[in-house]
Amino acid sequence: MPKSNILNINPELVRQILVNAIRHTGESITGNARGRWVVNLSGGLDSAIVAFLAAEAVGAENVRALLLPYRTSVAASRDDAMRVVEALGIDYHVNEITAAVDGLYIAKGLDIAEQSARARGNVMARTRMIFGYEECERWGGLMIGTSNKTEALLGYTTIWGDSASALNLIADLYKTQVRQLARSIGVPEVILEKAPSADLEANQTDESDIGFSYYAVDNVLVRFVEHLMTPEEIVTELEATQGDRGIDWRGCVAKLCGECTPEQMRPGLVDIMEYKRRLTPIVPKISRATIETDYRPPKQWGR
Amino acid sequence: MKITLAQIDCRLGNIPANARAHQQALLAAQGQGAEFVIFPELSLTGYRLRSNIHRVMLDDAEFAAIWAGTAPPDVVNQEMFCLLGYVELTRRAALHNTIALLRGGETIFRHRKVYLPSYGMFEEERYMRPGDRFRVVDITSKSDERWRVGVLCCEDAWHSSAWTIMQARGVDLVVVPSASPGRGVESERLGSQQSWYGILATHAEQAGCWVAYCNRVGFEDDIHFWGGSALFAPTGEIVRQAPLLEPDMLVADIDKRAITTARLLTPLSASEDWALTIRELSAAYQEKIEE
Repeated sequence: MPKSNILNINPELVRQILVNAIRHTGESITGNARGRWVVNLSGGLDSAIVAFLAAEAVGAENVRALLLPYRTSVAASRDDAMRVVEALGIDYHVNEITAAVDGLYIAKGLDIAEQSARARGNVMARTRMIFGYEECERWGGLMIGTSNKTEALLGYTTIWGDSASALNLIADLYKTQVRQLARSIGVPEVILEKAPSADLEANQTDESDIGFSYYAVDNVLVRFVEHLMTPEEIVTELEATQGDRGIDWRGCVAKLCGECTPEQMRPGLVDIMEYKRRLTPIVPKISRATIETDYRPPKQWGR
Repeated sequence: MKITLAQIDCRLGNIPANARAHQQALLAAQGQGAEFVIFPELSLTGYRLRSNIHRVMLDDAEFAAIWAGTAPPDVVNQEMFCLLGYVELTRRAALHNTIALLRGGETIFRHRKVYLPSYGMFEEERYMRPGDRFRVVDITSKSDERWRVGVLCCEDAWHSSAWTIMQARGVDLVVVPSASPGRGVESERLGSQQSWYGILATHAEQAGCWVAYCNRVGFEDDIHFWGGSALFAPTGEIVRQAPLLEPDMLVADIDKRAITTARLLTPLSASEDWALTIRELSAAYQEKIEE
């Protein structure tokens, strides 16, 4: 059975590794010491921490933030993103993406109101990617990604949208580990405290989308991916040690890791979503099972 | 004998840049008064070569030519010892993860890594062939001390059997060059460091020999190497340690008297029953074959 501190990180060590990774990647791609980095700031925790680390690695003058609201985006997101900009003193642009997103539907002769929230959200995420890369090209910067390991394993990402970058800085840290790191490097408290949200649809939170808390999901994922435990072993351990938390451990494991009985096998979300991970950018290795570097399942498991 | 652990960064596939880094480190070590300079695994080529490995492989003549262009004249003249890593191309076109020991201008010993890790993030055996022996070499220091030196390259040192062979050969100093990627951040100490130091301290004490661990630093794609090169005394005690994550030139004195003292106090080598060990290993091996 893994140790109880299974998701703990040493934040100082992680910070050093990630700061060095930004410098090395910047230099290896651009040939200039450190390079310049563009980050799409959502107002959430992941992009905030990436901005903090980038500013530390290459200096505030070499980091540019883009705030890219759509007309339905929550106003608080922008306020929180501005807190990061002000805390770091980095350059920034606010660009409404509404005209670009709506323009795509107009160009295709489609009524935007008839499209699903999911489809519109994906267009927003991919539009933000284009805004980011356009900035990179004009300014001579590189796109720094903000996906965490939990999202990547669940496929809770828009492929070629928020998943696109040159360096996916925190993609070897689970969401609960990102929180630990953020706390230690001084990310504004209000950002730390709020419920994570993709802010692509009204009243959306990650945890309601996923159906389980990040705490539950991360505890399952770390056992499945890093500790090579079977789904049944994970359920047994978590029910025995954390059965009193009101978490449906069996349901969570079944959803994420699939099921396998002598009669039938069903792949889990982690298995199915491998196709989104295969073209992964550079992911600085932190853990013992980094996506792509160590964790390389087939794309069509169980299919 | 004064040794230097050259904890350098390497540029992936860039032999000219890496050769210059070796040259600078050798000059610095000479300034430190060292007579034995140790570089990490694959120090001339970088580690994660993958499909480009054929672009940096070196046959004997090519390796000799690079060394001739790299070694500062004083290093050659004063017959300093230098241990470094590269990709060796044999006549049969086998590739090896090789550690060469040079004295002055000449290669006096080679170790081809035996255990090529090919699990998790590692894929060495996909690109290289394993070595087939663990041998030692006798060298004489400036002060006319005779040192029996063995080399275990990175993963080799995780196999106790390799240490048993070193001990059987009466080794005084085991050099462990490595390119160990940093991973595991749940504790105060990096997970890789925790495991490595435990293994090296244990084997230094059991064999009653000096252990010089030289690990590199720097990044290659997604992975970083954590450094933390260290010297373990024949008591198992860690006597010198380089910092993590940054280059360093760790210079240290090693002496033969410490080996004798450790072996007198804990006479494991002298009391080892080699006949029994070989008999039982043979029997176990035979049973394994029959299984």
